Amino acid sequence: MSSFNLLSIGSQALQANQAALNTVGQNISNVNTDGYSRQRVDFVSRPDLSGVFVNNIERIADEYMTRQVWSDTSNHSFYQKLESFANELDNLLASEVNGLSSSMNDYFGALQSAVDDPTSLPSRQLFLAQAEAMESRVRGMYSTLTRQSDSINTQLDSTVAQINSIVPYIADLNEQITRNAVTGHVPGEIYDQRDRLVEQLAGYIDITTSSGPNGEVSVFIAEGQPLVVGNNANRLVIQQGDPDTKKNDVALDIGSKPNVITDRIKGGTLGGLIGYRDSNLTNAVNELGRITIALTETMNQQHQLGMDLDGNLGGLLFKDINTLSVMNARVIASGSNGSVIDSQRVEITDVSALEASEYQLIFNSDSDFSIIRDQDNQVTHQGSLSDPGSAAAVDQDGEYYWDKTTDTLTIQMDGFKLEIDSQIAFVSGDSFLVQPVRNGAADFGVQLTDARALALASPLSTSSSINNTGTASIEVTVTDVAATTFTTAAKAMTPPIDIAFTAGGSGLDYTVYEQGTANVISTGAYVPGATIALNGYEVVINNTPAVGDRFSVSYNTGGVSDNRNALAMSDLQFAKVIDGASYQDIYGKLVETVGTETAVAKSNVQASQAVLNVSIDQRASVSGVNLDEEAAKLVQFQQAYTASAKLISVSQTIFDSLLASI
Amino acid sequence: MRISTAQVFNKNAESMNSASSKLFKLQEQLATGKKILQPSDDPLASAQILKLTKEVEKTDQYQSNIDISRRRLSLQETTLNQINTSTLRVKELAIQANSGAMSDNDRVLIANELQVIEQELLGLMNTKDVQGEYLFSGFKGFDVAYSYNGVTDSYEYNGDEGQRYIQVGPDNKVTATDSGFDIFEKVPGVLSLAATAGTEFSERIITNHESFQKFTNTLGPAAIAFDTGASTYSVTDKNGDPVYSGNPAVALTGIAYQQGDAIDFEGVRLKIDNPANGSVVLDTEIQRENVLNMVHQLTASLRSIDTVGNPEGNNKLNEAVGRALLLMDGIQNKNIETRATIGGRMNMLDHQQDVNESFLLLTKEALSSFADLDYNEAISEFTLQKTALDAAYGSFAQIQNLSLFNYIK
Repeated sequence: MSSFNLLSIGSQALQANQAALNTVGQNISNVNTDGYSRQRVDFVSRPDLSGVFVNNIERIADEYMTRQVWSDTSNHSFYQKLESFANELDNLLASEVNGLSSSMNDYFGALQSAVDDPTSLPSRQLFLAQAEAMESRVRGMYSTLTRQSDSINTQLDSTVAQINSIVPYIADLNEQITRNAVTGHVPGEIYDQRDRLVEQLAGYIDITTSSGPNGEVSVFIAEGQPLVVGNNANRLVIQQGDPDTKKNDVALDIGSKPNVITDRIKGGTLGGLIGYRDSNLTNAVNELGRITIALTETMNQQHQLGMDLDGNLGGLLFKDINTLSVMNARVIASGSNGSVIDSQRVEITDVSALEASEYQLIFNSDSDFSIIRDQDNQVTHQGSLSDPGSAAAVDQDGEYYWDKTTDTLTIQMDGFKLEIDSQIAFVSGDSFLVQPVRNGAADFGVQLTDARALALASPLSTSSSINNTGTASIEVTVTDVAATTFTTAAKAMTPPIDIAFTAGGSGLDYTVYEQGTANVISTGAYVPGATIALNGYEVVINNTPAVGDRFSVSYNTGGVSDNRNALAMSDLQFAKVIDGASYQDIYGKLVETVGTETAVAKSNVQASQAVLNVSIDQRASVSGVNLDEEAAKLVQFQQAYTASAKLISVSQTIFDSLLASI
Repeated sequence: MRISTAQVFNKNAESMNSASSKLFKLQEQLATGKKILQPSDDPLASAQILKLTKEVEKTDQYQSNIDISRRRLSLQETTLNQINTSTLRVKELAIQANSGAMSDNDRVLIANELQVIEQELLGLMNTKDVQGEYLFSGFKGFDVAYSYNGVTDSYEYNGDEGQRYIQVGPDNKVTATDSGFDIFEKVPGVLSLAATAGTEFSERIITNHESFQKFTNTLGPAAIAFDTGASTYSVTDKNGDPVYSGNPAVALTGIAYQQGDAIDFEGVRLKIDNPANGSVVLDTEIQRENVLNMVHQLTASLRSIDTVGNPEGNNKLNEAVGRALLLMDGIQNKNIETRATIGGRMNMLDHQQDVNESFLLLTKEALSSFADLDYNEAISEFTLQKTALDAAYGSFAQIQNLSLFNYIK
């Protein structure tokens, strides 16, 4: 055995322990580096008393735990993003300053004042002012929702930009890993860096990964679409939404044609943005639209049955829901359609049957179409152009008519009538987005400006003969101001009527005369409380008239103190106008739904945070640096180093002793 | 479990974060006094709060409607009360005018007073409410309720029969106005001889409304048959039976007459004025007069009837006053009846107000239970969270000192 052997062992030990000390140093200095995995020196003893060598500087990491962190990160940032938007919406809906319900309370409160004093111009003006306040409230809510939608598009852009900046680095690091693996040693820091980038990526979008033989990682998104494969990276792009141009799409750019993956993104910031937009936001906008459309239409209908302070019939209180431009904007054709559209429109026919949803009309073949309601994802209607239906009155739910000569398709459903006039025939794959209520809040507005024109009175008044001896009383209700009774002459009833009672076969008979003449308009047996329907109005006579009793109905000329129509309008606050509920009940339901969604999102944020924390803790407990541990190792390796140095010193002493003995 | 150093710090920062955010939320609740700061804090309660707030505001509105209705009804009641007082004075004056001690001159003085009352009544019946609407014009609030028509020499009603209803409870509407038609026009009438009945008579006077009414109800109308050849007349009832007159009663059959003779029967006095041969039916009608016309006609009669130069004057006066008094009874009854209805409505308003009040109380209680913070609970929770944060700070201070490096010299 050579005495040099000791020197050699000593110097090897010195080197090995120095490496170990360096590793401790590296660990200590990276104690606060995100994503750093602690390293450990792998000593291997040489056989035949020939010392030690550093086999490898090992990176302590657990692949399973790392992947767990990735998946939990996707989940957590999904809920975080969803919650931040939902929270804003939640605050918007119920606040006293912004919420619609308090504004409606004020509106109906002002209407009550007008009921009390129909001649009072200040009361009338207050009512109009409250209607305008409600308009601006609705507009304010709508613009907040629009701003959210814009903000989502902006954030989609920036998130996709972030993803596109990360992805090439991951591919690059994968390449370095492969390259280094050939030479035998891959520095742990490369893995750390790569894993950290993948973790960032997982925060933006949900991913699945697979590892190659050398530890390189391929990343897949949207149910298996390749984003990074080995050292190849693909790009994400943002495309304008089709057919809804306000909802931008995310697409994966592989080769030539970008592949839209919006609907398949379920996690990360992108997933949160898309999930919120396509469900919570869309529902809220549609529901708000439905409420305002129902309010507009029912209020308008009642107001038009009234008479204003100057004796004119009531006009529109709110802006018409079925103007041509508004109806046109409710249908959007997909940009990729084969058919070319001349005109398209959705006319709302029955607000009580409306749903707060959007619909898709899709041609499954050149002639067969189906309509899908987005709200519940149901195919609500199906039809075929080869069975064109009947041209007569498409007015029952589900009825449709295909006019071959003009290429016009008309469908009646869910309270609206859809009409699409195509230049050429429809083609398989054509699709249309139908949004009956989407823009309701945006189109909402007060039409009436003159307080005198508020129709608080009813245009017909009744009178009874002073010589009536029976106990009967008469009531009249206007049902249709488009009837000739009202249209023949302005501010007049054509003709005014008298109703007289005579003894009939089994009781009393009534006869309706044109006032002051013997012209009989209608006649029948008298039933107390029964409705006598006449041209555009209905008469109800209660209790018991006597033979010879007479009643008259004429135009309510000068009827300024009449508040019957105002009362009818006021009753609408509690009327079950949509889905068997009142405006405010539906609004309350919206608040409740959004509140619940937000509460669930909040608790999901906390839950996913807790889950993420656990996986980060688990990973940290394997890979993280503990300073106490490093301190101990520092002492340990320092002592070994000192001892190794002593070996060299001893070998020198031995050598010296040997020389001295010569 | 192995703990990494960074983890120790992160954990601490995180727990301090969560403790202070809970503390902040509690502080916000304490500062606002509200349990629910946004719907997601309690979605179900939030929907309830919206609903209950709507109920509270609506009920508040009903309460103010009740106040408005009460104000209007009291105005009506007061006005009707004054009208009644004036009518009573008219009654006194009418009775006074009919007493035998009155000279024609005295009656003119009474007529003068009646004329003043007439104007006063007109003013009362054209009362406007605070909005400037005529109280008794029905729906035609801007049209004056009563105006004098010189052509017919009478007061005419210009309003209609409209009655305004005001909502005072969820299912309760109260009639807040009454039309002049109902109160003043639709009064009980008096039975009179029809204007067309008989030119054969120079005088047609109802001397006793009560007997005439009784006769008309059971046996009227009477028919008077003249035989100009024999210069006799006979009076028969609707059954063709002779009518009796005088005391002792004599059947008015084939009674001889001369020009200017009077026929008296069943409260009617007719003076014969060159009749034609044949039969005349004495038609009757119900005459209704509003209080203004009643006073107006009475005044005119008092001015025009001459009891000195005209032997029939006393009878005429008697008839005019009798008719006025009969009309007045009907008018007063209607007035009292209307005021009773108004009283009933005001009672109903009081009752509804109580009902609304207790509903408000309950609703506000329910609202408070959903929306308002339980301070006891919140403060104790706040203290607890504060302690937790204190502990987090304290323990962190202790932990951050611990390091093996402190011991390696």
